Amino acid sequence: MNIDFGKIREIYGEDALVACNENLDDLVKNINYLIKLGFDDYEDIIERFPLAFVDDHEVVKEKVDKLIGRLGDDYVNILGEDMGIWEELL
Amino acid sequence: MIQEDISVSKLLKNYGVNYSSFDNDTKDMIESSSDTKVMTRALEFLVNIVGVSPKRIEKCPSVLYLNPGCLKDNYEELINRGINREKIIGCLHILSSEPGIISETYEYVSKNYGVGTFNKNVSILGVPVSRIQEFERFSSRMSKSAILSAAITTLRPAEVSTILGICEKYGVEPSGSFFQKGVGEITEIVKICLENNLEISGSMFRKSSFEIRRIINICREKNVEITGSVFLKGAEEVGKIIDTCRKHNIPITGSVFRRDSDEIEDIVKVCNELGIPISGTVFLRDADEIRRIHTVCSKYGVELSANVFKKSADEIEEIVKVCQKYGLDITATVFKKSASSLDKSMKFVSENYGRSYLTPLIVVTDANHLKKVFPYLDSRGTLEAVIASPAILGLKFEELIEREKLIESIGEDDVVKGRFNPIYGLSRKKYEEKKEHIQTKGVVVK
Repeated sequence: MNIDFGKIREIYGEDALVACNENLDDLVKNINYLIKLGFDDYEDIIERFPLAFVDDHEVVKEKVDKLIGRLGDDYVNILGEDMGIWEELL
Repeated sequence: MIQEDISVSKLLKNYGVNYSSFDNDTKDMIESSSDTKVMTRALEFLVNIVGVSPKRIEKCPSVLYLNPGCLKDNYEELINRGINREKIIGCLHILSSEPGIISETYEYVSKNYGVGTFNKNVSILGVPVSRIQEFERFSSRMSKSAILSAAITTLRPAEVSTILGICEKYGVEPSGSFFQKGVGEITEIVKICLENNLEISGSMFRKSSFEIRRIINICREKNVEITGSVFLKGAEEVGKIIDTCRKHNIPITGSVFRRDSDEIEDIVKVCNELGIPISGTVFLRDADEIRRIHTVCSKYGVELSANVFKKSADEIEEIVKVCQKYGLDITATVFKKSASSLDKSMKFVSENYGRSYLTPLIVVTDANHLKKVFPYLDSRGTLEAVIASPAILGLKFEELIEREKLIESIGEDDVVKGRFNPIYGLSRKKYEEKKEHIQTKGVVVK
């Protein structure tokens, strides 16, 4: 796991890093769930939308499941083509 | 010199502090310290002005005998430096710092480690710069945050070097908690983790190796996942917490281990009384604070989502006021940022570009990043597209420029039907594939 926290700090500020640190258990669970779903570019997802993934794991899982359910079987590809869709999780 | 035991006991009792809770060494220190007038002023300041609970003073009695005359000045120095009251109360001993230490250390650590350090590590402000510099010789072997954690302890540099050697031997990244233990204990704890196939987390080093084994056994007996959070409490309390959660049908997530089982009962009671769904985040606050948060949310019509409990009632009120100032609808996301950073971002955007740009993703973006990207996009005549497709803000400025150049090289437009070109929205992997494809197949300019 090689998340560029410097990038998160640059784009979302120090308090976003604090949010990541304070919710590390949930962040790790959420990352593991993204990996399980087949997102091998999970680092990019977290770096671009860190605040979407610091929530309680069950809450994030529900939102992600709803999102990929709507997108269909090709969800990995669709989200890779348009990362902006992840904004729905905010 | 305090002349009579009974004077000390009575004085402390007037402020709700239980003198008999102190061990003999502490009592000796208090008795040989400054006079009752200074101690009275210290207690008056701590209890009645700052609002420190007597229990907190009982846990940190050094404030009563180490530089009690400096408490007020040190407190004001910390507040002026932006350290909030809750954090100061959680780290009371730094109020006993020698005059000038806090200021000097603040300047040094801000410059060399970042202002954000103090969010996680307020204790460092009580450490002289000279001591921090003693551990900077290990900068190639441990992170900056670990250096500061080592400086907070009473370890000598040679001891820290030995601990680093153990970490290097087992391939473990040294975190701050490692320095709370001696060399023998650290080795034992690392062995236990390896035996049980557990990821080594900082919270483990707050416990003895014996206690860690007990906690692991209890979690296994009760079929609870072993994460770093279970090591926040002693084994017996971990057992009680698990039983209490099961009694009330509460999912056993990491946050429950921040509370004792009694506190969990209080929280459940308050949540049931006020109709608050019991999510993991409610356990970030105690029952009284949950009640205060409920009051603030009711006052401002804020939905009691899980995110609000990540902030104190005071912080929530500050965030709500900032949102109201700029006419922003309050969404759950704003509670993941501080009021001051939201204010900076919203002020910059609304004063220069108007409130129509205050979308959820834009307001949580750091003001400094907005100050680079917005003027640039505005100069390109493409800024308006950021409302419909703000995800471009998730790119570093350099990444944005690079993608812009690629888009130009293939003769496409930056903005297509009011949204940024899809190339800005590609994942890093897809972007690299696209770039390679364009570069190997050649560019066709329309």
